[in-house]
Amino acid sequence: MSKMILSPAERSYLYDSLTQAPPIRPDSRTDHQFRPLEAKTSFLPGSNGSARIRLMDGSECIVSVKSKVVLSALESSLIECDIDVSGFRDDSNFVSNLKFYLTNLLQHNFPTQYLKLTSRYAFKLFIDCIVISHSSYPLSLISLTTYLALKTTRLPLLVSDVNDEEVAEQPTFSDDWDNAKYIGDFMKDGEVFQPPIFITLGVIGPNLIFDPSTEEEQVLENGLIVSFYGNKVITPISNINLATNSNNSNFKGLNRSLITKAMALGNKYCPAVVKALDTLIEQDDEEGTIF
Amino acid sequence: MSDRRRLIGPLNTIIPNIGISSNATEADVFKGPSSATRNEDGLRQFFLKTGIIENANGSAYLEVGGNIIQVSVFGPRPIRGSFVDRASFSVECKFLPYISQPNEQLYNNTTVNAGSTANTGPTNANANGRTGLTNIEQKISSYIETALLPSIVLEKYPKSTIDIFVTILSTESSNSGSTKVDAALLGISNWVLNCSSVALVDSGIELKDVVTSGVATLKNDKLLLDPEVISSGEDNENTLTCVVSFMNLRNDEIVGFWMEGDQSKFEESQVEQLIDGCNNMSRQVRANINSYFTSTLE
Repeated sequence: MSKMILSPAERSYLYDSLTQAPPIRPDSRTDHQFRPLEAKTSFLPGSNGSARIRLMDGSECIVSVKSKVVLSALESSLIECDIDVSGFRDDSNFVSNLKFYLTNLLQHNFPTQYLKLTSRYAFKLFIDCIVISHSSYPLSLISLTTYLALKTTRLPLLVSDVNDEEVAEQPTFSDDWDNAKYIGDFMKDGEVFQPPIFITLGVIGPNLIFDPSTEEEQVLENGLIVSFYGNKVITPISNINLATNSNNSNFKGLNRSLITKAMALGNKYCPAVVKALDTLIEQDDEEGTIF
Repeated sequence: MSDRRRLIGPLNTIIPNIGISSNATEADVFKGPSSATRNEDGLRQFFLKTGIIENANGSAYLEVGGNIIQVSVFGPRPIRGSFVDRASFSVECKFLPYISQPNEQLYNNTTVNAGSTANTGPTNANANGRTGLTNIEQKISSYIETALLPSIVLEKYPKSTIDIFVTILSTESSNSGSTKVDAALLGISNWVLNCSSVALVDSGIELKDVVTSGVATLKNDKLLLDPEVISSGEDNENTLTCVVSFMNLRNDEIVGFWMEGDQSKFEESQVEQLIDGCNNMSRQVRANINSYFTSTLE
């Protein structure tokens, strides 16, 4: 599957525009600006948390979070991710890599201690992502949608005794769904529940551009994946060829200074992204309607 | 070498004499990497050999510590159908089925049976029967592909494919380690990359530069090059591990970058330190590879 969406003349024009200082992007965004998105949360009745993000180019991702009570000693991890991308096989390199990225990020940067119910039992979260349509590399889209879904995940209230070290007891939960608590409600004062996110950066000339569109991806010299959690840039950080299967002849190595520059830009602009997502959740109060 | 269109069986096939004792003494047991095998520059010694697979266009074999890696390069091979003006390039990395992959419980969704701790065998269900790659194998494949892609002069080979097949015959990782440590994964990726570069040179495909790679760990502000697999029990907090691949003769351009590790005290200066460390190691590996090739010419 080789994508040829730009002619050589268009490629050259776009490349020259993006290497300017500051870069001139086709949709007149600044270098650190994301594409506008539309989001909806808590619309799947059978899930503990759900979210959908749509971009203006028709990209769409739905994430559902479900929980299950497990014996924590038997689980290697309390979070399990699955990703489905329409048009790609589940065992393809593309989907496997997305899954690896998301699992890796959440595994290292999630306050799993708040999922523990008693000394024996814990909630296990199953995060299922479906990418219905996408044009640019969908990792950032998936991760932002996951952020919204996790933020709006509600877990039923435990009514049985927390201490089951001496007397074995099956956990029981309140029948009233209104008593369910957000993951953030379990946290101590002063702590805020902010799941980790990924941002994709395009490397072109001396510039780094946030959230490259599919046309921009065709001319990029390299790409970077940067993760953000707890108000700062964290690992994993890696480079990536964003235009998979394309005939991108610009792809080349990157200067080391761009890696630290990417971290600095992430630290500078990601808090605004997280804040925008939090505002989205606050404003999104109509229940049940997604159309 | 004559038939480039299809994969034929190896020319140098040996039929094993099954049932006949060769009076061999018991195979040497890997004692695991120790500091004794380290050179003055802080790197572990590695064994390298090229051209071991006759029907591949290029091949390389590398042993370092407990890792054994074999890479074969097929290409440029003609493709049928539509015209492409540049070669397409692909990498496929596989572990042998009985080899435990670093952190496989986490990434490959293999089930862990906590009840049977005695079972140290493969946890991959139906590992011998699987056809596709696991998530870890896909991830390593992608890293190698991304890092080598800028070095190959693909324009020289229109309507062709260049395929790299990596087989990991042994790793020094153990499943008993903490599931939070990805250092083993980065370590193996580093050596797979170095071995693949050598195989590419052996194949005679035109390259802009030989990509070499280094891996470094920063623990409590102490930098360690080419870290061995961190044993279980050890405290893994405050450890940053990074693999960086360079084109050392092209301004040390970074073609591959992958960093994992602890989050609490993560700063840009540490990243600088790690990149410096990886660059030093990459240059050492490059020097070794260069001298290997000059010695084979004689």
